[in-house]
Amino acid sequence: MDDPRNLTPFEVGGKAVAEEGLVLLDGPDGIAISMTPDAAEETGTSLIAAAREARDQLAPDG
Amino acid sequence: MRCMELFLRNRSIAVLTDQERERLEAAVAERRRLPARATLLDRGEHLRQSTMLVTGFMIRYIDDTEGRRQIVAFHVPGDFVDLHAFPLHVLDHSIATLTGVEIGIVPHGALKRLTAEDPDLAQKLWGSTLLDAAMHREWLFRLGRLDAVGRVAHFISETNARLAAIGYSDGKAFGLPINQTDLGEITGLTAIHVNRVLRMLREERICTFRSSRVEIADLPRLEQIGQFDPTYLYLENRSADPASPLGEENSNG
Repeated sequence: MDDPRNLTPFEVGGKAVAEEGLVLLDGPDGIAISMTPDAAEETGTSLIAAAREARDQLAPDG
Repeated sequence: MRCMELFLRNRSIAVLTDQERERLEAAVAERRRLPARATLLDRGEHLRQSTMLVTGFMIRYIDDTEGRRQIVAFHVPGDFVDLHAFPLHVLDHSIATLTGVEIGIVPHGALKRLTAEDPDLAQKLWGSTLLDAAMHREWLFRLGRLDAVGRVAHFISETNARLAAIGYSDGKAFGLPINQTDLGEITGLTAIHVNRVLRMLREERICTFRSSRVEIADLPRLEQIGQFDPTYLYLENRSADPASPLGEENSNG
Protein backbone atom coordinates (compact mmCIF):
# COMPACT_ATOMS: atom_id res chain seq x y z
CA MET A 1 0.00 0.00 0.00
CA ASP A 2 1.26 3.47 -0.87
CA ASP A 3 2.57 5.52 2.00
CA PRO A 4 0.35 8.63 2.03
CA ARG A 5 3.40 10.69 2.92
CA ASN A 6 4.94 9.94 -0.47
CA LEU A 7 4.04 12.18 -3.35
CA THR A 8 1.73 10.15 -5.56
CA PRO A 9 -0.06 11.10 -8.78
CA PHE A 10 -3.49 12.59 -8.27
CA GLU A 11 -6.47 10.58 -9.37
CA VAL A 12 -8.92 13.46 -9.24
CA GLY A 13 -8.59 16.28 -11.75
CA GLY A 14 -8.55 19.98 -11.08
CA LYS A 15 -11.54 22.21 -11.60
CA ALA A 16 -11.47 25.04 -14.10
CA VAL A 17 -13.86 27.98 -14.12
CA ALA A 18 -14.15 31.15 -16.21
CA GLU A 19 -13.97 34.44 -14.35
CA GLU A 20 -13.69 37.93 -15.82
CA GLY A 21 -12.32 36.64 -19.13
CA LEU A 22 -9.74 34.35 -17.56
CA VAL A 23 -9.63 30.65 -16.83
CA LEU A 24 -8.92 29.78 -13.20
CA LEU A 25 -7.68 26.30 -12.45
CA ASP A 26 -7.87 24.95 -8.91
CA GLY A 27 -6.23 21.70 -7.98
CA PRO A 28 -5.36 19.01 -7.88
CA ASP A 29 -3.24 19.57 -4.78
CA GLY A 30 -1.65 23.02 -4.54
CA ILE A 31 -2.32 24.10 -8.11
CA ALA A 32 -4.08 27.45 -8.27
CA ILE A 33 -3.41 29.37 -11.47
CA SER A 34 -5.07 31.86 -13.79
CA MET A 35 -4.67 31.68 -17.57
CA THR A 36 -5.84 33.58 -20.60
CA PRO A 37 -8.32 31.60 -22.73
CA ASP A 38 -5.55 30.95 -25.31
CA ALA A 39 -3.16 29.66 -22.65
CA ALA A 40 -5.92 27.51 -21.16
CA GLU A 41 -6.71 25.96 -24.55
CA GLU A 42 -3.04 25.32 -25.21
CA THR A 43 -2.65 23.72 -21.78
CA GLY A 44 -5.80 21.63 -22.27
CA THR A 45 -4.62 20.35 -25.67
CA SER A 46 -1.22 19.52 -24.24
CA LEU A 47 -2.77 17.73 -21.26
CA ILE A 48 -5.04 15.61 -23.48
CA ALA A 49 -2.15 14.67 -25.76
CA ALA A 50 0.02 13.75 -22.77
CA ALA A 51 -2.83 11.74 -21.23
CA ARG A 52 -3.16 9.69 -24.46
CA GLU A 53 0.58 9.07 -24.54
CA ALA A 54 0.59 8.06 -20.86
CA ARG A 55 -2.24 5.56 -21.51
CA ASP A 56 -0.26 4.09 -24.40
CA GLN A 57 2.73 3.69 -22.10
CA LEU A 58 0.57 1.64 -19.72
CA ALA A 59 -0.87 -0.59 -22.46
CA PRO A 60 0.44 -4.20 -22.36
CA ASP A 61 2.12 -3.84 -25.75
CA GLY A 62 3.11 -0.23 -25.18
CA MET B 1 3.61 53.89 21.66
CA ARG B 2 7.10 52.83 22.66
CA CYS B 3 9.08 51.10 19.93
CA MET B 4 9.50 47.78 21.74
CA GLU B 5 6.03 47.73 23.32
CA LEU B 6 4.72 44.85 21.19
CA PHE B 7 7.93 42.93 20.48
CA LEU B 8 7.44 39.21 21.27
CA ARG B 9 4.20 40.07 23.05
CA ASN B 10 2.31 36.91 24.07
CA ARG B 11 4.80 34.50 22.54
CA SER B 12 5.72 31.41 24.49
CA ILE B 13 9.25 31.08 23.15
CA ALA B 14 10.61 34.25 24.67
CA VAL B 15 9.03 36.28 27.43
CA LEU B 16 10.83 39.59 27.69
CA THR B 17 11.30 41.00 31.17
CA ASP B 18 10.54 44.68 31.72
CA GLN B 19 14.24 45.30 32.08
CA GLU B 20 15.04 43.57 28.79
CA ARG B 21 12.33 45.56 27.04
CA GLU B 22 13.83 48.75 28.49
CA ARG B 23 17.30 47.81 27.30
CA LEU B 24 16.01 47.22 23.79
CA GLU B 25 14.08 50.48 23.91
CA ALA B 26 17.26 52.32 24.86
CA ALA B 27 18.99 50.78 21.83
CA VAL B 28 16.61 52.53 19.42
CA ALA B 29 18.61 55.30 17.80
CA GLU B 30 15.85 56.88 15.75
CA ARG B 31 12.10 56.76 15.10
CA ARG B 32 10.97 57.32 11.56
CA ARG B 33 7.67 57.57 9.68
CA LEU B 34 7.39 56.20 6.16
CA PRO B 35 4.55 56.53 3.66
CA ALA B 36 2.57 53.60 2.28
CA ARG B 37 3.98 51.65 -0.68
CA ALA B 38 7.58 52.75 -0.11
CA THR B 39 10.59 50.48 -0.50
CA LEU B 40 12.72 50.73 2.60
CA LEU B 41 15.54 48.41 1.56
CA ASP B 42 16.50 46.65 -1.64
CA ARG B 43 17.79 43.12 -2.04
CA GLY B 44 21.58 43.00 -1.77
CA GLU B 45 21.93 46.04 0.47
CA HIS B 46 24.47 45.96 3.28
CA LEU B 47 22.87 46.86 6.58
CA ARG B 48 24.20 48.43 9.73
CA GLN B 49 20.87 48.64 11.50
CA SER B 50 17.68 46.65 11.96
CA THR B 51 14.08 47.83 11.81
CA MET B 52 11.41 47.45 14.48
CA LEU B 53 7.91 47.93 13.08
CA VAL B 54 5.98 50.04 15.59
CA THR B 55 2.75 50.76 13.70
CA GLY B 56 1.43 49.74 10.29
CA PHE B 57 2.20 46.81 8.00
CA MET B 58 5.28 45.93 5.99
CA ILE B 59 6.36 43.14 3.67
CA ARG B 60 9.47 41.32 2.61
CA TYR B 61 9.42 40.42 -1.07
CA ILE B 62 11.34 39.07 -4.02
CA ASP B 63 10.58 40.11 -7.61
CA ASP B 64 11.16 37.69 -10.49
CA THR B 65 13.07 38.72 -13.61
CA GLU B 66 9.87 40.06 -15.18
CA GLY B 67 9.04 42.13 -12.13
CA ARG B 68 6.32 39.89 -10.75
CA ARG B 69 6.34 40.02 -7.00
CA GLN B 70 6.20 37.24 -4.45
CA ILE B 71 5.65 38.50 -0.94
CA VAL B 72 7.65 36.20 1.33
CA ALA B 73 6.73 37.71 4.69
CA PHE B 74 4.01 39.96 6.06
CA HIS B 75 4.91 42.05 9.08
CA VAL B 76 2.66 43.35 11.82
CA PRO B 77 3.46 45.82 14.61
CA GLY B 78 5.99 44.44 17.06
CA ASP B 79 7.94 42.55 14.40
CA PHE B 80 11.70 43.02 14.20
CA VAL B 81 11.47 43.11 10.42
CA ASP B 82 15.10 42.48 9.53
CA LEU B 83 16.74 41.34 12.73
CA HIS B 84 18.29 38.50 10.72
CA ALA B 85 20.35 41.14 8.90
CA PHE B 86 22.29 41.66 12.16
CA PRO B 87 24.32 38.43 11.70
CA LEU B 88 23.80 38.18 7.91
CA HIS B 89 24.82 41.80 7.11
CA VAL B 90 23.35 41.62 3.59
CA LEU B 91 19.67 41.51 2.82
CA ASP B 92 18.60 38.68 0.50
CA HIS B 93 15.17 40.21 -0.20
CA SER B 94 13.59 43.65 -0.35
CA ILE B 95 11.50 45.35 2.33
CA ALA B 96 8.61 47.74 1.71
CA THR B 97 5.71 49.34 3.51
CA LEU B 98 2.13 48.43 2.68
CA THR B 99 0.62 51.18 4.82
CA GLY B 100 2.02 54.26 6.41
CA VAL B 101 4.31 53.01 9.16
CA GLU B 102 6.34 54.11 12.11
CA ILE B 103 9.60 52.28 12.61
CA GLY B 104 12.38 52.23 15.19
CA ILE B 105 15.96 51.98 13.93
CA VAL B 106 18.32 49.87 16.02
CA PRO B 107 22.01 50.08 15.06
CA HIS B 108 23.81 46.76 14.84
CA GLY B 109 26.52 48.14 17.10
CA ALA B 110 23.94 48.51 19.88
CA LEU B 111 22.63 44.99 19.23
CA LYS B 112 26.18 43.67 19.38
CA ARG B 113 26.73 45.26 22.79
CA LEU B 114 23.39 44.06 24.11
CA THR B 115 23.86 40.47 22.98
CA ALA B 116 27.43 40.38 24.29
CA GLU B 117 26.39 41.67 27.71
CA ASP B 118 23.15 39.74 28.10
CA PRO B 119 23.07 36.11 26.88
CA ASP B 120 19.43 35.66 27.92
CA LEU B 121 18.36 38.59 25.79
CA ALA B 122 20.58 37.33 22.96
CA GLN B 123 18.76 34.01 23.08
CA LYS B 124 15.38 35.74 22.96
CA LEU B 125 16.43 37.77 19.92
CA TRP B 126 17.63 34.55 18.33
CA GLY B 127 14.23 33.06 19.15
CA SER B 128 12.56 35.95 17.35
CA THR B 129 14.41 35.12 14.13
CA LEU B 130 13.54 31.44 14.59
CA LEU B 131 9.91 32.47 14.81
CA ASP B 132 10.34 34.12 11.40
CA ALA B 133 11.84 30.88 10.10
CA ALA B 134 8.88 28.90 11.46
CA MET B 135 6.51 31.20 9.59
CA HIS B 136 8.52 30.78 6.39
CA ARG B 137 8.14 27.00 6.71
CA GLU B 138 4.42 27.41 7.11
CA TRP B 139 4.26 29.73 4.08
CA LEU B 140 6.08 27.05 2.05
CA PHE B 141 3.46 24.55 3.14
CA ARG B 142 0.69 26.97 2.25
CA LEU B 143 2.00 27.67 -1.26
CA GLY B 144 2.99 24.07 -1.98
CA ARG B 145 0.05 22.16 -0.62
CA LEU B 146 -3.06 24.31 -0.40
CA ASP B 147 -5.50 25.27 -3.14
CA ALA B 148 -6.59 28.86 -3.73
CA VAL B 149 -9.24 29.06 -1.03
CA GLY B 150 -6.98 27.20 1.40
CA ARG B 151 -4.15 29.67 0.87
CA VAL B 152 -6.35 32.69 1.50
CA ALA B 153 -8.07 31.06 4.47
CA HIS B 154 -4.68 30.18 5.95
CA PHE B 155 -3.33 33.72 5.58
CA ILE B 156 -6.43 35.26 7.15
CA SER B 157 -6.32 32.73 10.01
CA GLU B 158 -2.63 33.39 10.60
CA THR B 159 -3.03 37.15 10.51
CA ASN B 160 -5.98 36.97 12.88
CA ALA B 161 -3.89 34.96 15.37
CA ARG B 162 -0.88 37.26 15.08
CA LEU B 163 -2.95 40.41 15.47
CA ALA B 164 -4.88 38.95 18.40
CA ALA B 165 -1.55 38.36 20.17
CA ILE B 166 -0.82 42.11 20.06
CA GLY B 167 -4.36 43.30 20.71
CA TYR B 168 -5.17 44.32 17.14
CA SER B 169 -7.84 41.65 16.63
CA ASP B 170 -10.58 40.58 18.99
CA GLY B 171 -10.28 37.12 17.46
CA LYS B 172 -13.06 37.72 14.96
CA ALA B 173 -12.41 41.05 13.26
CA PHE B 174 -9.44 43.21 12.43
CA GLY B 175 -8.27 46.00 10.15
CA LEU B 176 -6.27 44.80 7.17
CA PRO B 177 -5.49 47.74 4.89
CA ILE B 178 -4.17 45.76 1.94
CA ASN B 179 -5.73 45.18 -1.47
CA GLN B 180 -6.51 42.05 -3.47
CA THR B 181 -3.29 42.38 -5.47
CA ASP B 182 -1.31 42.30 -2.21
CA LEU B 183 -3.28 39.26 -1.13
CA GLY B 184 -2.50 37.67 -4.50
CA GLU B 185 1.21 38.35 -4.09
CA ILE B 186 1.09 36.76 -0.65
CA THR B 187 -0.79 33.66 -1.77
CA GLY B 188 0.61 33.25 -5.30
CA LEU B 189 -2.73 33.98 -6.97
CA THR B 190 -3.94 36.55 -9.45
CA ALA B 191 -6.16 39.32 -8.12
CA ILE B 192 -9.10 37.80 -10.02
CA HIS B 193 -8.50 34.44 -8.38
CA VAL B 194 -8.35 36.14 -4.98
CA ASN B 195 -11.56 37.97 -5.75
CA ARG B 196 -13.32 34.69 -6.55
CA VAL B 197 -12.04 33.08 -3.35
CA LEU B 198 -13.14 36.03 -1.21
CA ARG B 199 -16.57 35.92 -2.81
CA MET B 200 -16.84 32.22 -2.02
CA LEU B 201 -15.82 32.79 1.60
CA ARG B 202 -18.37 35.58 1.85
CA GLU B 203 -21.20 33.63 0.20
CA GLU B 204 -20.57 30.66 2.46
CA ARG B 205 -20.67 33.00 5.45
CA ILE B 206 -17.18 32.13 6.60
CA CYS B 207 -15.58 35.56 6.44
CA THR B 208 -15.72 38.88 4.65
CA PHE B 209 -12.85 41.12 3.57
CA ARG B 210 -14.20 44.51 2.62
CA SER B 211 -13.08 48.12 3.03
CA SER B 212 -9.78 47.12 4.63
CA ARG B 213 -11.52 45.06 7.29
CA VAL B 214 -11.78 41.32 7.87
CA GLU B 215 -14.77 39.96 9.74
CA ILE B 216 -14.74 36.27 10.53
CA ALA B 217 -18.15 34.66 10.94
CA ASP B 218 -17.01 31.05 11.25
CA LEU B 219 -13.45 30.83 12.60
CA PRO B 220 -13.35 27.00 12.99
CA ARG B 221 -14.39 26.53 9.38
CA LEU B 222 -11.94 29.18 8.14
CA GLU B 223 -9.09 27.49 10.00
CA GLN B 224 -10.19 24.08 8.76
CA ILE B 225 -10.19 25.23 5.12
CA GLY B 226 -6.75 26.76 5.61
CA GLN B 227 -5.46 23.67 7.51
CA PHE B 228 -4.31 26.26 10.03
CA ASP B 229 -2.55 24.93 13.11
CA PRO B 230 -1.11 27.86 15.11
CA THR B 231 1.57 25.76 16.82
CA TYR B 232 4.28 27.39 14.68
CA LEU B 233 3.37 30.84 16.00
CA TYR B 234 4.32 29.87 19.57
CA LEU B 235 1.51 31.90 21.06
CA GLU B 236 1.42 32.11 24.82
CA ASN B 237 -2.24 31.29 25.36
CA ARG B 238 -4.44 31.46 22.33
CA SER B 239 -7.64 30.75 24.20
CA ALA B 240 -7.12 33.68 26.56
CA ASP B 241 -8.56 37.09 25.84
CA PRO B 242 -6.49 38.96 23.28
CA ALA B 243 -3.97 41.45 24.61
CA SER B 244 -5.32 44.84 25.58
CA PRO B 245 -6.89 46.36 22.52
CA LEU B 246 -4.83 49.26 21.28
CA GLY B 247 -7.62 51.09 19.57
CA GLU B 248 -8.86 51.72 16.08
CA GLU B 249 -6.08 54.21 15.42
CA ASN B 250 -3.50 51.45 15.56
CA SER B 251 -5.60 48.60 14.26
CA ASN B 252 -5.60 50.13 10.82
CA GLY B 253 -1.90 50.76 10.75
